[in-house]
Amino acid sequence: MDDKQNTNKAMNVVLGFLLPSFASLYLVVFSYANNATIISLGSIWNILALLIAISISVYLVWFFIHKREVYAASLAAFIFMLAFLMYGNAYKLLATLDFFPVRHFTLLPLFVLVSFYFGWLISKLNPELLKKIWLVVISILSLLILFNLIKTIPIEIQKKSQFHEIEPITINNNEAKAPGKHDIYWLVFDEMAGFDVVRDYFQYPEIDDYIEELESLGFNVIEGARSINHYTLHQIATRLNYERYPMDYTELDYYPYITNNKVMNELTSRAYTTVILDETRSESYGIPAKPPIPADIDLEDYINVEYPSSSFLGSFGALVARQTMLMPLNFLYNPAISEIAIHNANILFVAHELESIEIPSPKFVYTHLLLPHKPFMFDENGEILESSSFTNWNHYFGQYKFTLKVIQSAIKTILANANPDYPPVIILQSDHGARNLQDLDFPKLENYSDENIGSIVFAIYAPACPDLPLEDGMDPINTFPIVFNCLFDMKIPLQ
Amino acid sequence: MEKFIKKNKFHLIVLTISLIFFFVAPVIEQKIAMRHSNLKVLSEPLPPSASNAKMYIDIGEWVHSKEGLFHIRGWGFIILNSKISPTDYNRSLLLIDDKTVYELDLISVKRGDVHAFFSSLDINLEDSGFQTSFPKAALPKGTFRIALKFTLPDGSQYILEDEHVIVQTHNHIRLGN
Repeated sequence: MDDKQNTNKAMNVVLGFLLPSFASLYLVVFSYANNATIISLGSIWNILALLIAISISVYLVWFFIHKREVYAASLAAFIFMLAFLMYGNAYKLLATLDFFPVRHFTLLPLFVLVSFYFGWLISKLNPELLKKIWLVVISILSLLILFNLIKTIPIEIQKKSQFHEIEPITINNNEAKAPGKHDIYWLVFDEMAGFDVVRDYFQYPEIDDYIEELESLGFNVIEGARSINHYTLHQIATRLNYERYPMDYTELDYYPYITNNKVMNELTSRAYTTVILDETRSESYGIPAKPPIPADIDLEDYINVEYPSSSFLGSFGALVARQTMLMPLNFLYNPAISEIAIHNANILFVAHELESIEIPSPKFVYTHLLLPHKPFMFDENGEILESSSFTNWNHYFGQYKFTLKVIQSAIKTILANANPDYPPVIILQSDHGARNLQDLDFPKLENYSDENIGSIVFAIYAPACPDLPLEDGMDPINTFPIVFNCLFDMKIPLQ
Repeated sequence: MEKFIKKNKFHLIVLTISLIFFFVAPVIEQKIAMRHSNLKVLSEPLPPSASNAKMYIDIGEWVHSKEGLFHIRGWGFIILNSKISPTDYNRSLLLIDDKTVYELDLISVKRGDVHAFFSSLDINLEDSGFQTSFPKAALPKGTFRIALKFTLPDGSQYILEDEHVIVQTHNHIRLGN
């Protein structure tokens, strides 16, 4: 009899853990469900474990305060966890509203105090009523968690199937075409504003000297080129398949068009070695759930980075933690340190070492750097700024000027190693222009027109194709058609 | 009501103290930060405006770090017949609102671009750049006009106001026009 009673008591104590833990689980599952198309499932476990550990600790404290009354302790812990999990958003909201000074050292104690009072007051209720409230709250939470889990299931299945579907492209010998001769470089610089915006908005007339220099090297600079939206996946899918996709697709819908694209299939069939460096899969600043693009060589395997161990929470964990009372400790779990080291190494590699690896020609080299995209970590001389500046748009243009230098250096390296008999084709492009997105801590660029967002960089070096049908303002969807029509005598209609 | 207050006296005191702390602590924080900052209150009246001087604020931004400094960078100089360069006189930055004028010391910065742009003036403007910073928490709420104060070798002083202002709200600080 005693054993049975003890077991029941233990079961009740465990039951008490559930409510505060479910509150934590809900925040993680809700955040994941809203980002499932761009992040991977593996990123949720550490933050979930941390929040559940906090929930259990809080519950145990209340369990002893409420003299082992399970339901009172559980509800009190739940109230505290609500305050804990909502703190970050409440802080941001109050700071944005700006009605009175909001500081962590004043708001945090107030949150703790108020939640403590509610947790204490709850013990004054009738135990039967407490049990009923507990049952209602846990039922609602369970339903909410279930709803969000159900929401993610089809996304996870689709993600999993996309990863499985990716196989190295194999070419049927019967379909093999005449091998190509000219190396092709597609260097994409994310968020790089077109030269017209640099000249007119950023008031940088020196850009004309830069354009002149590109032209003197043999580049055709296309001014006024625009992306029809500022969505990277849409732009890359469109250009890699010379096909216009609907703009309301989800991330998951675009992935297959990027991983299995017409451009790389065509080039593989022409004996090209495909080489890739894709920063859009960056953990902190990109879309980590994006499947890798299959290529013969992934340059990431050749880039050595020495960096401190990555954050325990990762970028998703940090995103969730910043919504909670862990917000003031942001500097402890900021995942950017390792990401920044990798990003820096990638940029230096593209600038100076693109030709350091022996790759058989013909080759197609596609590099997509998140530059001058956030993090705004470089000044115009390539010196690394304080991490607090990384989201400040005031540093965008300094990083832009550094990007111009990276491009100059990359071009120099490529041309110095080029085969004079078969000069390469070099395509310089951005996916979209500077979006000037709102940041909590810093103001946006002032008087920046939305028109500027679509303005992109577009320049082509193709000595083998002197008669490319280029014109200012041309649609980047035609990037590869004009190159392929020239190099391979294809007849891809232009749009 | 009286009974309720008597019964919950302790809790009411705790809540009242908390609320007072919530609203008063930032004011005390500002006073302490001001006392320990490099912002000096200028007690003398403002010097006259310089008839021939130039300045510009390039950057005014808050760096979201432990120190929470607001950085200001720009350039400025006075044009005199003697053609003296910015290294020959002292410059400081003034933040002016309706009640108070704060003064900040400046560090000279090389600005070859300014020197090149104003080469026709025949003044050595290589050191016309400046920078300074102050803790964001130290500046009270308000809109502050920005001016450069020139103190010449003979002791005479002039100011030149920039087109920018610094706007400090309860929770944000920014450079505005």
